[in-house]
Amino acid sequence: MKLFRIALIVLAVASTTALIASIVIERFYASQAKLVQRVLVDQAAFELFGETGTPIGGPELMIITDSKAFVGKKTAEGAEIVSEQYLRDHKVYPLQLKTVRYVAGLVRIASLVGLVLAAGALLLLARRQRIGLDDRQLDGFHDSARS
Amino acid sequence: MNQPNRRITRLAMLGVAAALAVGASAQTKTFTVGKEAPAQQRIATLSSNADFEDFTGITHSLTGSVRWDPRAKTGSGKFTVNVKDIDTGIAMRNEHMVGPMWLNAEKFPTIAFESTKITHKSGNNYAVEGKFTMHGVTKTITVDCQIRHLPESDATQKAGFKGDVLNIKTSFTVRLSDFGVMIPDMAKGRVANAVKITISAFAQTG
Repeated sequence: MKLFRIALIVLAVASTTALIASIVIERFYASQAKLVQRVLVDQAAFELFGETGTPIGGPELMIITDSKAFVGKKTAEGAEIVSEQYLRDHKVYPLQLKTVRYVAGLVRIASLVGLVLAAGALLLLARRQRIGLDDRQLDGFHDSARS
Repeated sequence: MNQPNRRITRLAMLGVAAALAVGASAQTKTFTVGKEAPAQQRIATLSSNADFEDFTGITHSLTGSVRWDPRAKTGSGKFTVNVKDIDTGIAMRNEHMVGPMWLNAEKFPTIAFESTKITHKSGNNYAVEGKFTMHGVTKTITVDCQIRHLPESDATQKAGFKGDVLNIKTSFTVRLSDFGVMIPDMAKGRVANAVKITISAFAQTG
């Protein structure tokens, strides 16, 4: 029973740590993320139409630490233009804030479930122990009354 | 007016009409997007925005031809891409995408769009109705398209083009399930059923 209680305490501590970590890590990545638009840069398009190139997908919140990937221009929506060619040539697959949030959300759900289960089980154990103690005390009272 | 004169007038009018018709058809030019064109000038993408992540598959295997009349602002065209050339940035995902569970490149090697009707809306904007074929299923769709024509000039030559240049851009959304591509349960959340397809091409007459 003692081992079980220790396991529950470990689960509760781990769940709380995971919960806090998920919040901290998500906030850290959110502070690093930038709204970017990946573009396949094309000189001909620039010369003829004044455009940087062809947008790949839409604007996304991404964590890109390699500053060389940035072209140094912004789209009309304010997204920073990133060279798709550079990312592919250097095999950079940027982390999306969306993915971080998704995983952090799953961790939060799992850690909350773990925390509730651990707390519930610990409470039950404590209650059971108290009842057991009360019963033993009651038995002791009966014994002393009989004698 | 006597009979021979009337006949001459009628013949002359027919001649003028024929000349005008020839002149009008002479405005229609054939533009091609060939394999020899630089990769960044023939791009087709397929983007998925799912809960877990967004990804875009890119291919430079886009080829096609457009018959275009810049004066009448109408024409027709067809574009094709090779499914197996779509690159999503992750090798394993590429393998899955072209596999039998998804786009099945072995059985359906190409994705194609062929226009059937082009309607000018405003400026360089057009509504293009056409047949879109993916995964062996063909559906008629109407897409918004930007078509820009540049006659041959020093600028087009300097940019590396031969002849007139036609810049074609379109993007539209299709549902994979409409084309018989069913997302397995384990991939839900990672791949969206509604995918955005874009085409960006520079076609030239030379």
